[in-house]
Amino acid sequence: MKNHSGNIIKPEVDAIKIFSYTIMTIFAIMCLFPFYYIVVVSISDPQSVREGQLILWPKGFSLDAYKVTFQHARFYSSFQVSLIRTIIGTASGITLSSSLAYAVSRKYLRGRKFFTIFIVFTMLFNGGIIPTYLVVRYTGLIDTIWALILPNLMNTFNVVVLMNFFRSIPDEIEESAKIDGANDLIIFFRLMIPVAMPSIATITLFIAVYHWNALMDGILYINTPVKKPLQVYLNDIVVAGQTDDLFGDSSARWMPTLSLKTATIFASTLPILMVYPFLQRYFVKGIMVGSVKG
Amino acid sequence: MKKTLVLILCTIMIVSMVACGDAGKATPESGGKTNTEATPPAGTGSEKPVELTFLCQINVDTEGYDVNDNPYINYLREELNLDINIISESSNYANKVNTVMASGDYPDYVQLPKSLYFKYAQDGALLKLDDLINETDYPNLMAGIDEQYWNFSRVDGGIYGVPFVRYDTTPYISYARKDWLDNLGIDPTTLKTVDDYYNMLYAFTHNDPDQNGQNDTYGLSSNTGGSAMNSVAERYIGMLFIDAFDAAQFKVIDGKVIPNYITDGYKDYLKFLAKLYADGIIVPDYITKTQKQTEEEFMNGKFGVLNLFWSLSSLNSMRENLYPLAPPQKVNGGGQSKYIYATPVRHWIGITSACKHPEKILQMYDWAETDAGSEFIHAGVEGWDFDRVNGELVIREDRVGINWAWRFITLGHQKSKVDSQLLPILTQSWGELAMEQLKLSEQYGANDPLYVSAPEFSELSDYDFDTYVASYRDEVIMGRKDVDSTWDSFVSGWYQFGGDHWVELYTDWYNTSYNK
Amino acid sequence: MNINTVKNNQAVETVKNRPGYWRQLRKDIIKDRWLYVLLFPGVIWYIIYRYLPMLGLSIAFFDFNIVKGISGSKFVGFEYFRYIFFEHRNFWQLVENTLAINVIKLVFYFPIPIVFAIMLNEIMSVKYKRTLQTLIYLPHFVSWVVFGSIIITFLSPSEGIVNQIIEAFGGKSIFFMSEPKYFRWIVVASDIWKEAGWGTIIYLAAITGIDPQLYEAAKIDSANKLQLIRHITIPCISETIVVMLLLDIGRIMNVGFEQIYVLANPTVYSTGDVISTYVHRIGIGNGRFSLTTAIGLFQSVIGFSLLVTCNAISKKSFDKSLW
Repeated sequence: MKNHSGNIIKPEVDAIKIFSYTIMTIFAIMCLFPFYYIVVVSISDPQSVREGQLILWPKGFSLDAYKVTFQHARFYSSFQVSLIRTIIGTASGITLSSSLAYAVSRKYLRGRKFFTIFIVFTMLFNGGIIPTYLVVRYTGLIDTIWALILPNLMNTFNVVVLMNFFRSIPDEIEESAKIDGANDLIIFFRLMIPVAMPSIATITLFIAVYHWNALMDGILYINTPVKKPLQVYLNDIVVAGQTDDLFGDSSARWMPTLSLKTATIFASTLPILMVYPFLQRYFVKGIMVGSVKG
Repeated sequence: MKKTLVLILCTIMIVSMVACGDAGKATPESGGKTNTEATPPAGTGSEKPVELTFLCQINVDTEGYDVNDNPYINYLREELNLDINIISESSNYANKVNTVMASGDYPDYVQLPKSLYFKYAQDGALLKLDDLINETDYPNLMAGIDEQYWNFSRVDGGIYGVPFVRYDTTPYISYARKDWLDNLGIDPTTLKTVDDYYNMLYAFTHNDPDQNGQNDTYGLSSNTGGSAMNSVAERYIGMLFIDAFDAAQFKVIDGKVIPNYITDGYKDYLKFLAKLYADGIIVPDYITKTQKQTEEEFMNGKFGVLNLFWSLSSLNSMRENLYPLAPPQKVNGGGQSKYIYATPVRHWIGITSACKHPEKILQMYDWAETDAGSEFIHAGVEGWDFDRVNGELVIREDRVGINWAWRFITLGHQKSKVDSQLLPILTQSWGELAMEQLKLSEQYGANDPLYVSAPEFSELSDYDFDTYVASYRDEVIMGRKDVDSTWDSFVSGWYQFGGDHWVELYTDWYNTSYNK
Repeated sequence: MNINTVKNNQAVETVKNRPGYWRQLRKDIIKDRWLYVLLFPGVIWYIIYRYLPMLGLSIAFFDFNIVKGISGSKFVGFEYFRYIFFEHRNFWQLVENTLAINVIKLVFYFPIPIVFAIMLNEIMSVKYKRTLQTLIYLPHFVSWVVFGSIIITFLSPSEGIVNQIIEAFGGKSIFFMSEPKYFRWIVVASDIWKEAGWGTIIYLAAITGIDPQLYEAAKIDSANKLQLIRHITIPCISETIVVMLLLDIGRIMNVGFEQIYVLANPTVYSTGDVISTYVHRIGIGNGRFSLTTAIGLFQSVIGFSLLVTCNAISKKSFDKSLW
């Protein structure tokens, strides 16, 4: 078999390896189960689906839950909104976060300690829903797609992870570049970013997943239904099934909640699962080798 | 990156094809369903329509329509000559209301549950309506809503919103499975005392009522949740018995108002429920069930008695097999007990201080109380949902019972009484049997006069009474705490941590504002 | 050497008043000007969308009237803090429950993503490694509403698989979800199942950054697998571990609302009701903004103090810190 560099090697067998394979395989199977359950329920006949019953095989077969999810025009508008906000939000988020994180990671930067505390402080102290809403309103973002992008453009956790990674890059790389006369910008864009790819890919994934799954900002900041992001639409579908009985609407045609919940979860996760493999390779390969001169 | 985009595009294409394959069901734009006679009556106004913004919680199926572009809102706009713009949030509604109101960017009118209605009225965000509402300008509105409900709407003496009164002010009934009653030879008309009902439940549990040779049935179940007074657990498990023990209503003792869960009757009620649990009559893990699970288990014959709305909604298919039980006689000789329902007023419509045309909104609700308004809400739009055949209103078969909830939320109000105009429409939607049971619910049910007219004091929520009471209640029912030895400390604990304040506020209100 | 070494901050403090200080400051800023350019947009964003809203924390000291705003609201000082500290029925119980759950998490949950990342690193086949990775991330995407109901069903006294196993071994079925003593452990265990896989991503990325030459050199010295892990892998990712640990310590007063809301019922509130569920109950439907802001402020202050303390300790003891 081939290892990460593509060289054919003879696999070494030792206790640690066996242990690792076993544990991780068992855990992976365990982790598969909830998602498998969701898929099975979502394609089962909605009328036979029971809450609180764990099944391994679909009961009956029906794509009705998916039809309900996809058939409304709002699915497409909300999908589009989420797609745009995820792309723009992720691109701008990772750019600003990496820039900030890199600058703050430089040990010689004046005010570095101050800026680090400045950033971390916001992780623990939060103005709250209403003050944040007021700021969003006064920056004129309400009911625009920018309300889904700007207020959570960056996230301290992400910045800290990136900063930490930049810090761990050996000084020699920067030193040798500066000897060659490069300035900080060139070093950052041409040198550091490629080296920090595993970390940047990781955070890109985090930001993208955040945008794709975000619910509350769509609820609070967006009023026009066509501008609402995907999760709000999916949530609305599930809620509509739950409250039907409260108002005594005698039509029994609405789909059981569990079918909808599972179908909407699967529908919203699928795009991420498709994007993920393309980012995955950045976690696997290291790009350190060869970047240190001499 | 390119690969990703290609994949995403492919997904969109595939998904679109699936959706377009169901073209018959898809309703993308307004008027997507071609229905040729869909011309609602033209509005009367030659004047420019007034613009109004409505913040509400539409949390029911809207057939895929945009809430601002669908046959119903369009009909309202035409009929009332108003340009209504709806902002709707189906979940996290309280958060939405709070942020919108905090921003100072008020909608013209807003749907408010009791707690928020009192809060915003007190904070000064809502218009005081006393000077506006009168019988001359709004005859139907005043006639439709009884004076007591206007009094319930008083905050510090003023009326700040229009109450939405359910036409079924006491909608609960406890139902028992007919097939089990028959199999066990129990005649439900003979059930009178609490003991009679106990025996029935005991038989449901231990005498194999589904005759499958297995000991797998129970008498009652529930799930947990809700506030201490309007608790879902109370509603499911205890609603049949709580008033029989005189434990369902606020009481005035020694001139002080106390909540139902502090009364001695409540202690006896809990003791009784604990006995039911100990005798195996209650489903043992009821505490982890969701409402849906409980209803499903009832449908599948796991237990025999459940408290529901007369309309049965998702359990409507069971109606033929359900017997509406009359509540038992009170244990201390006070006649027949009732099913107590806490909120005959579902919500209030508050008109905010930003509204320039409050009279338009009041006109709208006056219209809602008329026959025309009632038709709109309960039957729908002519030519779309129903037709007139020989002067009679006939709802189209595929539109029966659909969207009533959506329409009344969109409008914000509905006719408050079932009269000769409304009854035939409801009968078409629900059927004769359901209408009979609606009548029964009126006969068997009651509201707690103190609770429904009392205001909501938001500062009392800090004390989190609900969890205190719910924890105690469920621990007693499940036999973890012995009610006799712990009742006193439960009560004194309640007083110590906020109960005093509760009693003070409600007694004060009782002495000053309550119309006896 | 063109790279400046770390400035001696103490020296700078005492010489601030010297005329040479400001000149040096200008020189440094000009020297690093591009770094400040990189820094600038982010800082502006933080000021607008994080620090400006923080002014709203002052609500905690007023009897906030939403219509009149802060200027029209009555100033009450520490009144709300006094209430929660001294008069509240069970505020300290809520704090205890929150802390207990997070401490259990720190001890039992925290190491797992690290261990998993190391183990995943042992998987030789790239294809298999990627498959495992994808699988362990999946539960992260299942909402707590659904995941919680799965847990409850697993642990059901009548039909749950766990109790079926117990009874098969001759034991008596236990109603786990209704026993206060089990609840916190159920919370942590379910969190591990759901989130530990996702948590490995950070550590995997860190491991990827380790120079393979270090391993080669050690192997030449005939180190075995365990020694490689102990002496190379772990030390190389230790900075990441310390940073993650510090962040978790900073958030020790916060337990996510959704998970508890789904899993808890009244019989386990004594050990399971946490600050966030209480705040959700009173803050949302009842608009108790001042009180909930005060509680949030309390959580933040405690968390930040702990973070500062632990950061200092970590800096002294391990020479690794957040700042």
